[in-house]
Formats: sequence, structure tokens, C-alpha cells
Amino acid sequence: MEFDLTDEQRSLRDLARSFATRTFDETAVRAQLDTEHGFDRDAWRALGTDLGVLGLTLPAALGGDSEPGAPGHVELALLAEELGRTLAGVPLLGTVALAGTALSHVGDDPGGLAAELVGGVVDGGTVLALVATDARGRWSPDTTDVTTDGGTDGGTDGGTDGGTEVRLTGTASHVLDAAAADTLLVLARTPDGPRLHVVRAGAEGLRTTPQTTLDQTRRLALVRFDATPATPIGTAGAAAVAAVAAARDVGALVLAAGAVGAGARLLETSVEHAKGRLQFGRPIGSFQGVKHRCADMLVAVEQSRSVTYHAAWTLDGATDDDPRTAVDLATVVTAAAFPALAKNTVQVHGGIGFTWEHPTHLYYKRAVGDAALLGGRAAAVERLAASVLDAAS
Amino acid sequence: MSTATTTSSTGTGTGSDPGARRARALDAARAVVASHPPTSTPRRAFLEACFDAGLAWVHFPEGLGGLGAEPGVQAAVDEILQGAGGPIPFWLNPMGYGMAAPTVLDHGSAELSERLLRPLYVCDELWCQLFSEPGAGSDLAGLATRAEKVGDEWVVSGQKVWTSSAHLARWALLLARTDPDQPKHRGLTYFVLDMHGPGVEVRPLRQMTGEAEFNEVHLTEARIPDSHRLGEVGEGWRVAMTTLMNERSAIGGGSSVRGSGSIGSALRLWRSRPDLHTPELRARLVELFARADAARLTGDRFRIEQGDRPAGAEGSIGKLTGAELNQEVYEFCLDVLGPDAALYSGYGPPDETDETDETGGPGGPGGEPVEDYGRLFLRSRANTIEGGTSEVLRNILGERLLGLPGDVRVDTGKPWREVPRG
Repeated sequence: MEFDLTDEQRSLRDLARSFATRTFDETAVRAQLDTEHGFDRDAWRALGTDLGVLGLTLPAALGGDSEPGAPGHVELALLAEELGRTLAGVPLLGTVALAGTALSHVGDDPGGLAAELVGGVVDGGTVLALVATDARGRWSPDTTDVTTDGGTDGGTDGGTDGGTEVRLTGTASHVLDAAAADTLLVLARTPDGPRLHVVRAGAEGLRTTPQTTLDQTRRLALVRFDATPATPIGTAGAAAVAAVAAARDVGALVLAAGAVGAGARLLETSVEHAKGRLQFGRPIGSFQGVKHRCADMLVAVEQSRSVTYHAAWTLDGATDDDPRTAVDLATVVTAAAFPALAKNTVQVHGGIGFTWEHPTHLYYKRAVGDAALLGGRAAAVERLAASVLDAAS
Repeated sequence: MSTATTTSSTGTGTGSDPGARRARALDAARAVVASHPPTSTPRRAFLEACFDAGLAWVHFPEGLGGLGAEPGVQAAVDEILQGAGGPIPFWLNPMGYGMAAPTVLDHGSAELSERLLRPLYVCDELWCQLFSEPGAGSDLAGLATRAEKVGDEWVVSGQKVWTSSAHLARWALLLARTDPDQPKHRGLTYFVLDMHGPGVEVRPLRQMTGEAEFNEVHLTEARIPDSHRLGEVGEGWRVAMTTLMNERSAIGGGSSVRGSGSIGSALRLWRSRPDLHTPELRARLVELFARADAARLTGDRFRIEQGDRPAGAEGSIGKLTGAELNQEVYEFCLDVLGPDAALYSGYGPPDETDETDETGGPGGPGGEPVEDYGRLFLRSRANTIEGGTSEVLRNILGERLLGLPGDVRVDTGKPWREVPRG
């Protein structure tokens, strides 16, 4: 039943919280800010092999743990919430939610390529990047600026027979974890419509240039392809667009869940400070100006949690709602609530909240950065409006 | 049809486990809908059937309108009953259904529950609440209405205000001061008052909508038998807190049906007036929809997570967000209406032949919103005041749920009669 966590789900949440708390204290999180890729490969491997939580939503047929009776989105949301609490540096969003989901939707996998990649994701050995933005970083399968030459090495690819090598040319910007990825999953235009392609790191003509990000805990890169060898995967056209849309839905769920965890942590920090900080001889939390700000933060966290869990249960098929609408609602609510929570945390903390030493700015930047990913809040608002206002009543 | 007489304590009704109790409740709801189709059955007969089947408050004991099921089951039962066209009991007798019933059950004698609950649910007897006074609004515990014990009776004198449905009510929940020498929270006692008894005078209080939905109630040596006391003498504040938490849950919990309530009114207006659409209004409406849905889902989640635990301060979240949302939704509606926002349906006396609003509540007979946007707009101004101001609710969230320290107080520990009032 929706909102009623099973004992297994509670255990998973506890496990994830204990892992995240142990592995990603503030020192560990800050240490990642200065590394090349912004995350910890050992922790990623531990999530895969020790905790075994990276295949929650990836199909069993490809080596994951997701089955029709246990799709795993509620579990993924709980994991993402706990990792979000500590700003854990792990590529859950790019590798599992985006690339993993897209691979789950490619359909026939005659060469076993999807299974090979998903297998690497599940054990934490592989980092993937989904390339589905255009040269200006806009999330849009319709305007992708990467094109295929239609095939080399003697084989033209008609868009159906996978495995034949083609070459990709073009540019994609704002690609999450592209510099760190072992393999890129690239949406490119073909004569038969958009299609996903697999490109290995180090491939000829592939250049990734890290971009300086507002949020240093998530890394974006500019990716250029110049007759880069690639292997098509899945069918071209509507199926590929649907796979990327499904990836965006699960990615948006992970972002929303991360916002819930991070928001809850911000509220705890603010309340702790409001209780302990004395001005005018009293804790500042006894002043209604501060207290009411904290109350509004509580409302924001609880509502964020409700819409996010609802999206997870709906993606699992456990409610009557439309999954995309439920995800868009979660984005609309959390992408406003999370930045607001961070801003309120800065305000409650006063001057200390504006310093580099205090962790709040890391959360604030995560909130602002996340709200700009996957098409951003504005696109989700537009889809939600089309779904609930414009549709015939 | 007779009232069943078996009773059992909450949560341990027939049926061995929560799943079985849930299934039994849902079966009972389907059976009532089949035997008493709400669209063709008189309202009272339908409500009687629901009460006797234990569907009034499923977590109440059997024989008292419940089945001993978990409170979370109520939403699924209501979906069946209301989905088939049944009324929303809360809107028929809001003080009775949401507040009096749980308080009487928890703090009254078994005889009192037997006497009061069924007439309450089937709306033979409406209820009101005598809490607020001219000198005690947000500081409810400072109230001055006195109750003195004379023999087996209490003699009550004082003035209450903002009493909805007092002119229609048979019974009132009354909070009165029984010991003015105690600090204010400790000298209060809680009663059930017969509104038809001597010494009770109800005067209508006209509000900005033009209606008189509320009343002043003047009590002049009104008499209450001691058997109508709820909880111990001096324990009135604690009892009142359970009532208020239930009130806020009931107001804030709202309906779990998507697109119902005030946002439903706005959506209907939007769809009915495409000539008035603008991009700015569309953007506002979708934001309001998202907020309404977030509030609705939060109510659903709290109900499930609450399970069979008593209503807590979480209900304040729903009341707070629902009230502020209502105001913005109706402001939106007036903006959609354009020139028609300048018109009003009338400030005259209510049409005596119009029975759609007989309870004085903001809903029609089935709880559906009366689409009188100007009136709803004006009425919503009170939402952030009644049932706990938004300021008080934010204090509750900050202090009870987050553990922040209270404000500095000047009345703590002082006997009530020494605290300045005015």
C-alpha cells in the first residue's frame, strides 16, 4: 500500500543511512570537491558489491534485481534520500538512474551489450554517462546535436540490426559524469530517428572537457565526438526517445529523493542552531521570526517527502496515477522546496551560514544545480500543466 | 434497525489482524452501498446503515459506529461510500463528526457514548463547540466562563463567541473554568452542554460575507449534570488538546480525492471559462495545483503512518497549509473571473428555501463546494484564524514537532485571576 513501508524497505533505508553517515562525513564530502571526478570509486564499488543496492531498478533479465512484482523505485528513492542527506559523492544519478534506466528500455539486446553494461553497474565497477543534451546543454531528444554517419567498416546501419559499428560526430554539453565515465550512452540522430549508441572512454575522436560547476559535488562536461566509433543499441525512433524519457523520469525521482534527504538534514541543522545560538539572552529559536521559518521548513520537507514517495510508488505501478505526472509533480514541488530550505538554512544561521567553512553552501549549490538538470523545473511545470489543466476534463 | 450493543476497545475488534479488519471494513462498506444505494436512499437511512455497519469511524469500537480497525482504513471506506454518492459526514456535522465524537469516546462514560454517537452521526443532533471567548482567542486557556459545582450539577455563566452552528446544535463541547486560583491551564474542566437547556442564549454574529455562520452564546446559570463531564475536574485543557488535534486533523486531513476541495473549484472554473485564460493565470493555477496535491498526499501519508496512534501535532501541518492554500486558490478564482469579480451574490438574508447549506458549513449537502466564488473568497479570510491561527500553528510545529524553545511568557505559574486580561 502506498506510503506503507515494508520491513525490508525500512531495513534498506537504515542500511543506506548507516553507510552514508559512515562513508560521507563532511570531511569526506569536502575531500571530493578537489578530486578530478568529484566522487569516490571505492564507495561506489562498496554500494554495488557490499550493500548490493545498485540494481534495485535494473531488470533481472540484464543482471539487476528488478522484477515485475518488485520494480524497486521505492527502494531506489529511499537509497537516494539517504545518500542525498550527506551529499554523498557517488554517481547514482548518472549511472543507475539515467544510463541504467535507458539501457533497461533498449529492448532486444542480441549482442548482450546492455547486459554487459548493466552487469558492470550492478557490481559498482562501472561508471556510465547518458548523453542526451544538445550542444547548449538543453535536455532534449529532439535537438540532439550528435549525428551518425550511418555506418562504416562496410556496414550501413538501417536502425534495426545492432552491433554494427558506426561513427558519431557532434557536441553535447552539461553531460553528467562524462569525464569520469567508462562508457557513454549517446543519443544521436540517425536517418531512422534518434537512437542510442555505446561509446567507450578513450575512443578515437572523443574529447571530454570538464565544465566548472556551481555545485562541485556533481560534475558536468562538454563532450565532442569527431567520427567517434560507436555501437548502436536498441531500435531507432520512438523507442529510443521513450527510453530517454523513462531515464529522465527515474533520474527526476532520484533528484527529488535526494532533495528530501538533503532538505531534512538542512532542517535538522537549522533547528539545532536555533536551539543553541543565544542572542538577547535567549535561544534565537524562541523568537517567532526564526521559529516560523523553521516551521515552514518542516512543511517543505514533509510535502517533498510525500510527493516523492508518491512518485516512487506510482513508478512501481502501485497507484492509479500517471507515472510521468507523478514524477513531474515531485520535481515541481522539490525543485522549489530544496532551494528554499537551503536559503532558509543560510538565514537561520546568519553570518556563519554564508561562510565557506559551514556546509550549508554545499547544500544550497546542490539544490540550485539539481533544479537545472534534466530540463529543469520549468519544463516539469509545463508538462504538469499540460497534463492536469489542458487535458480534457 | 437497532444499535448494536457489543463493545470492544479500539484496535482490537473482531478479525485477528489489521489486514483482516481492513478487508472486513471494506466488505461492510460495499455491502452498505449495495443494500442502501446512496443516490436513491434517504440520507438519514444511509447514515444509519453506515453507523450500524461500523463505518462511521472504523477505528471506534463495535456498536459505537466502528469496527475496531486501524484509522487509516477510513480513507478506503470513505472512497467506497462517497464514491457511490454518499455524503461526506464531516461537512454534515463538522464539530460532531470530527471533534465531539472522538472526545466523547475517549473521555466520556460508556453510557454517554451510547447516548450521543449515533444521533450525532445520522445528524439527528448537530454539535457545536463553546471554546473561544471575547477575551480568549489564541490564548484559549485564559478563558473566563465559570462553572461551579452545586450538588450533582455544574452551574455555568459566561460568554462564548465564534460558535458555528450554535443555533442548530443540540449539544456543545464546553470548556469552562472551575478553579480560578490555579494557573490558567490547570483550572479548566470539559463538559457536554445541552444547548436546549435553560440559561443558554444564542445570538447570531454577522460576518464579512453577509451571513451569520457563527454565533455568540451567552450562558446564564446554565446547568450541566456531572455525568456530562468529559475527563477529570481540572483536566479540561488536556481533553481540549485531543479535541483540537482532531479538529486540525479533520480540517487539514481533507479529502484524499485528487482535485477535490477548493482546488477542484478552481479547476472547474478554469475549464468552464476558456475565454478568460491567460498564460499568467495558467502558470499560477498549476503551481496551486502542485501545492494542493502535495498537501493532499501529505495528509494521506500521515494517515497511513499514523496507523492506530492518536492524532498528533502533524495534523497542524495540514490545517496550516490548507488554510493558506484556500485563500490563494480563491484569490486566483476572482482573478480568473475578471469583471465578474466585482459582483456579489448578495448580502441579504439567506434564502429560506435554499437548503443546500443547512449546516452552516462551507459545503453543499454532499460536501460539494458551492460555486459562489465571491462568497468563498471572502469566507476563506477566516481560514487562517479559525481552528488555530496560522501563527499559533507555526508555534506548535516549531515547539512540539521540532522542539524549539517557547517564547518568553509572563503568565506561567500565576493563578489565573492574577493574569492581566483585556
